[in-house]
Amino acid sequence: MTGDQELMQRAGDGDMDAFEELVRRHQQSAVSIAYHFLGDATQAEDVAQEAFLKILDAADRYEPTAAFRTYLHNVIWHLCVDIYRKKAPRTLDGLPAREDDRRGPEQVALADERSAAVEEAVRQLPSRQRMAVLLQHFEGMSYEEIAEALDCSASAVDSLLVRARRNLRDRLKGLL
Amino acid sequence: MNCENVKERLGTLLDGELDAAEEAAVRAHVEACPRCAAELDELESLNQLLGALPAHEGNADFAVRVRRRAEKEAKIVHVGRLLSGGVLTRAAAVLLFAAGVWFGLMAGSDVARADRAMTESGPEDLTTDVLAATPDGSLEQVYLSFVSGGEWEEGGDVQ
Repeated sequence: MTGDQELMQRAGDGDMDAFEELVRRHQQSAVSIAYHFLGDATQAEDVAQEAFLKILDAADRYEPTAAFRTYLHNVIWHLCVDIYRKKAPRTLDGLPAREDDRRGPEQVALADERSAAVEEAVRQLPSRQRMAVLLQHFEGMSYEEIAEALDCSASAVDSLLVRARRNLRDRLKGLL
Repeated sequence: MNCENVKERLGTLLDGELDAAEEAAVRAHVEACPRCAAELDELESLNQLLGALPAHEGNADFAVRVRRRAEKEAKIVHVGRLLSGGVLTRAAAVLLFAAGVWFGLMAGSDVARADRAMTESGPEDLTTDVLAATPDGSLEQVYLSFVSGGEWEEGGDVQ
């Protein structure tokens, strides 16, 4: 399989097939992280779309000093923070229903309730803690990678995650 | 290591980010301390809850839509560049320059005609033909007035 770096190079040379392939590979993590950060499906897609366009715009100047996904999440982080600063945090009212669910109604209700509680607890975290948690759990990123995405040090990420866990445990006591 | 130090490191232990020596020390403490062991269990449950957060793909045609938008914006940028500093601007500059040269040549030929007339017969003999061809108040009239020693007045007559 062609690597992300090569796809980026080709995209920088105007190969739109390569760009589309890059988007396909990373769209789920881009949209998911933006969604859990912002709590709004439409805004999440807009942010993800904007991030890919910014990346394409700078593709001919791209230097692979870090993994592509780290670069992508750094762009997403900055876009999310810009939006987050402009709006008040939303409630969970507008979240879309989960599709293709084969669980029984009671299980669905219980699981959805737990999931909604976790989503809400994550969304209540301060923005940097929230993004660190999302990058770790959705992307399985190392502290070093999260640090690059958030423009901070690995020890700062360690401390962000310690505080994030403390906050989450306080909010989710009944579920643990 | 005491319980406070260990509790701070439990999450990092689960993330696999402790170095070997620190990991060994934390694990040794947890095995001997039921409170820290319970804390570790709780953090594992928290990780499971976070791991169950649903992923979101975006719309099925997300990648295609991003591509289309990129192609559309690339076209707009291309046209914008043409308008702001590219081919069209250069073409307009060439046209303006050509027009300037043409007007300059035309004006020059009228003045040269007047010069020739004066050289041949002197300012006194300047014929009304040349003056009649110059519009009132034009630069050519001013020039002819000057070379004819100020004898010409507006109205086209030589005195």
